[in-house]
Amino acid sequence: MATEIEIGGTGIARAWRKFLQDHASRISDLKYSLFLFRKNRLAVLGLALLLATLAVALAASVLALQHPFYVSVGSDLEQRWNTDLSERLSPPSFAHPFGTDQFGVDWYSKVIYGAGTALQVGLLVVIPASLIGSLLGLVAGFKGGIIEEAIMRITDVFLSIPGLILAIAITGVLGRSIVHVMYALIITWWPWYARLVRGQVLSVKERQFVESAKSVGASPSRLMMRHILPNTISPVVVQASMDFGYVILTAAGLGFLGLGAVPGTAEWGVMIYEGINFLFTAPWMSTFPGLAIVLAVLGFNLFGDGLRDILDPRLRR
Amino acid sequence: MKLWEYVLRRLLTLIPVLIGVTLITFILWKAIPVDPARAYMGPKAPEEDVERLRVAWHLHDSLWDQYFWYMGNLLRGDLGDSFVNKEPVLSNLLPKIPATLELTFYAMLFALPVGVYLGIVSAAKRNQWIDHTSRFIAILGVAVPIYWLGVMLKIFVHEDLAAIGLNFLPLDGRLDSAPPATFTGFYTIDSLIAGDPGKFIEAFAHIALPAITLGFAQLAIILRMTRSGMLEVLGQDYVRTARAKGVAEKEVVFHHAFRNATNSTLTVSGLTVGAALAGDVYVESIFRWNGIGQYFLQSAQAGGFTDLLGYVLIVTIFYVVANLVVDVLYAMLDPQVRLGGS
Repeated sequence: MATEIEIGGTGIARAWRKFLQDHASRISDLKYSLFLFRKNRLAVLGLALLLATLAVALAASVLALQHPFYVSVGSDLEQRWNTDLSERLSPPSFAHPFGTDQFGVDWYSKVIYGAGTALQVGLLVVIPASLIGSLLGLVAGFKGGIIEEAIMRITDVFLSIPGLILAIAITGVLGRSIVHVMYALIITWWPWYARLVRGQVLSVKERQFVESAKSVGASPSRLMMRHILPNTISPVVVQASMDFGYVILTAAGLGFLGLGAVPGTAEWGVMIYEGINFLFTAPWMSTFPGLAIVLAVLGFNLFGDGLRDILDPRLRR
Repeated sequence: MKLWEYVLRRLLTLIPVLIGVTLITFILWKAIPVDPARAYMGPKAPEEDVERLRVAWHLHDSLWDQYFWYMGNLLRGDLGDSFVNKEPVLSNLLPKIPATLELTFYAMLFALPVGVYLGIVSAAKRNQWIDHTSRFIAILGVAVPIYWLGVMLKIFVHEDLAAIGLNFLPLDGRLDSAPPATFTGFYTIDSLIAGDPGKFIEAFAHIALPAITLGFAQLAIILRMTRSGMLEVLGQDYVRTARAKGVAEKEVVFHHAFRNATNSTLTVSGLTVGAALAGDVYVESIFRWNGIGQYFLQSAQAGGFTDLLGYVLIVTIFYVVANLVVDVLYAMLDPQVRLGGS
């Protein structure tokens, strides 16, 4: 217990100072983490790229020169862009910084709107996959016995099929759609989290603080939620931030292969594919969406790397 | 535990995994959103023919019976008939396997030596320019999509190298002329067997760009792992001892240290097989390489359901066996793996 210092003042200021005092050790820890992160130049670059992608996605309607509209095709809404046949396949210029496609659609605006698509897919894949996988891994590691055996054998089966191959097969069976891409990627990604979290739980379970919590009579659910879960979370966070980039890369890959978003959508993979037909007459069509992918993936990757360095206590001091 | 005991034990663990994989492909078969018999026969086929096919495929039976029928077929080596050309899937796939293997082989021939060498040098010359360059390559390797790299290489060769007259590398296919007589299915080997050096050069030129594209990501992974393995080993006492007794630095790095860092390189080779199999699909579609990756993709786009699932099974078996080989090599190099297992 820290020694009590008399706290003066009233109201919010008083509460704030009490908060600072009560959490002093955590705050200094956080400050030290931030210091470590700032010292890692690559991690800061990663964070900058990541925030830039997010900012572009959120401010797309301000940054873009043209804007999409939506028409309903069957039960789906499809994205469309205004065409301008007098501007078709024109190279990068002030009016069209990234050039135009064969219908005269401004490629810069589509790359900008593509950031939103990429982040959406990343979010809707990484969050469910990490939740499902972590939960199963937590249960497996904590319960042991036949439940653990069953969960881990299923995990092994999924991991024995090369990820992209399974994803292609799933989208091939279900049919071309960006929603099916998300299903496919969740199905291919959750097992990694199950394996990661189970391993983590097994090692945390043996530590002394769990032993002592058990000996003073903590219930199994309290042990799991209060003592084991918090100590398994940091590798999951690191993995999730790295995976965010890989998911964006793979989802765009499926789009490139003609299994994801429909042509004409502002999705980076589909845009690279559309450029292939005009590889030598309009090389900018494939170039710019690919650069966008590289920068976004780089951002998440470097950020995740930096995060690992500050969250891993062995590397800290 | 003896080595053969270890191998046997690992082989036995493959059985439940492979059964599990057939369950996944079976579930996918049942998840097809359309009537597979109708999709196979086409919309114009008479209803009674389609019905006959439904009976032949056991589509009216219980799920349990269907799965046993499916497994029975698989055990007899029958992956079903292709939805695309109505031939057996296996006889569609088999002739295309050498093309994919040849591509993967040359990709690794590029990635492994370059990756290992850069990894070693990068660790030995830590924080010098070669280390910075290598780490930059390693970072690019994970962030640059293989499909975009292939497209960019094509543009670069066709546009920029053309400007200085160096655009001699072909951009598509395995050969422009007729293929050599088939012995191995590897055009670069078959052409030599046929005694046709001109054809060998042509085949080699065709494989250069796809192999570099496919190898780049692998190179980055190998580089990263070799570097971290080397850094760990270089800090150990026996390395200092070797240096202290006056062993030349080159000898210390390549002989004393690398010997013990090979484990980390070996660990990733299993991973790179999976990455290469996935990358094949992209590379073959970009460079119109007539292998199983391209076949798989075309089946996925055209609704070739049996083709897709057959490919998944074949590639998974290949992947699992490759990982087994890596594990066995590991056990041979490191007896602790075997002893710890019992």
